[in-house]
Amino acid sequence: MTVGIALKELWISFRLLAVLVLFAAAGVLAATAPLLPAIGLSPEGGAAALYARALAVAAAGAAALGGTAFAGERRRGGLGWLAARSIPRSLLLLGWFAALAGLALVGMLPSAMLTWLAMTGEPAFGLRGVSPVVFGVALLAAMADAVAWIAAGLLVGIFLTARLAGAVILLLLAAILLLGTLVPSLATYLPGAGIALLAEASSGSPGLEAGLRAGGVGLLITALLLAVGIVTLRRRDL
Amino acid sequence: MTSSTPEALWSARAARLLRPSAVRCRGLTRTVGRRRLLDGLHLWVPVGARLLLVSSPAESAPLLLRILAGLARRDGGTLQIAGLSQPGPHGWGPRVAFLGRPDGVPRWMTPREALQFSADVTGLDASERQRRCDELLERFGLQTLADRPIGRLSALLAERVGLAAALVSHPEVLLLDEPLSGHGPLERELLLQPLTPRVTTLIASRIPAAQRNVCDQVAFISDGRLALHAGIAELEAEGVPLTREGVEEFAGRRRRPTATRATRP
Repeated sequence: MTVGIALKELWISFRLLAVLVLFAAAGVLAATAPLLPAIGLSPEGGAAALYARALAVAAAGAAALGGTAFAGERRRGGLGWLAARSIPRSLLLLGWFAALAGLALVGMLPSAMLTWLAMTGEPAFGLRGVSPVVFGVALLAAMADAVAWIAAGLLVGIFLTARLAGAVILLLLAAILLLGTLVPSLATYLPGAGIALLAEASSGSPGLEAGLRAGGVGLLITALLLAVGIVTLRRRDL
Repeated sequence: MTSSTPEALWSARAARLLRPSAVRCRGLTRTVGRRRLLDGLHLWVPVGARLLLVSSPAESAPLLLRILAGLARRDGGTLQIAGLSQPGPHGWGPRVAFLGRPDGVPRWMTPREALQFSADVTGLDASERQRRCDELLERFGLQTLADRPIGRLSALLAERVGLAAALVSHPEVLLLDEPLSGHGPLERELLLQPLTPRVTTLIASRIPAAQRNVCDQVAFISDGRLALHAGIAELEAEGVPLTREGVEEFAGRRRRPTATRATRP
């Protein structure tokens, strides 16, 4: 019920379309990778790296859109209206999370397929021996990162106004990515490790173990953020 | 005894003498920022009362309603509503209806959807749901616009939808923050007439005179404490204007009640 309401609110405010377009665009961009050498460009890491970078932007955008929408609903009284009807606050947060995470996953699947097709079209694809299983595991880890970022966005939306929430979310995620770049040993434990593994998929280097670990970290962080969000929302005035 | 007690028991003289409470607050405290908006508030509201809440600072009364509705937390004190001590779906939640500002009703819903949704989540019996929705749509003059999105209705009609959605589940306690503020006094009186005499209504208003024909009691909260709880008829008999300043001045003239029960008007 709360998922339906969240989806409707996102649809009415055009955010639903924006989230889907962001993720779809990531795949379309990756699909252009085999064509770029013809115009003098050669993206490092090929289609997979291009997809990973675009995916990071898309996930950050989805988190910011989700956080601002949630903050706006809190401000407008929509969450209060539902809570006054004895709908548990935990369900309100989980409903919004499920709606946004569902959209992200629906957007990622076709874009990932486009990326895989683009990868198979690259000249060195056969030499690198890229396994679809490894790519699939890296993709799952990237999905876990995306939903972790969405959970972070909703958590920020509990605290801040809609105007501030979007900017703070983007800054926060940029800081996480920067930290992972500056301290590589920490990168494995940050939400973003899966996306980084996806960037290396064209080279065939990420192993299954790394992918599974990154996916596990992403899901664990998601669960922790949601738990903190539920506890926080219960104490906030609506 | 609560307002859901069977009618046969209510009719008994002994039951009436018990003067049961719909809302009972003891030592309620809440600080917002650096302001102590509720400072040890004691309030007892009998079943069936239509209480007008006025406060200085003005934020205290709406905050009290939000605490009673479970939308704001309290720092201290105890609450009992409709005989229950716990909020939420297993406590007084289903017995209380709240209408705040903004009302929060999704503007993409139609009036019919908003009422049916409210009926559904508050557990109204399926067989009763449709009948109740139709009854309220007719009562609030929304039947011809029942399937138009609320965002495409006028502000006045949108206000009515909010109130109708609050009433759909037969609440025992109705908490209203500036209800129907865009309506005229006669319309407001007509629309806010209680459907049953045992619905307890608490209305917070910054313009007390606007609720004159709706309420029969007034409570003034001054600096977080109850400074006055009296019948409106008593104020009128004393020639006190029903304004915030008038009520405040009258409260200052009287000795502040300490956890006393309100007298029936």
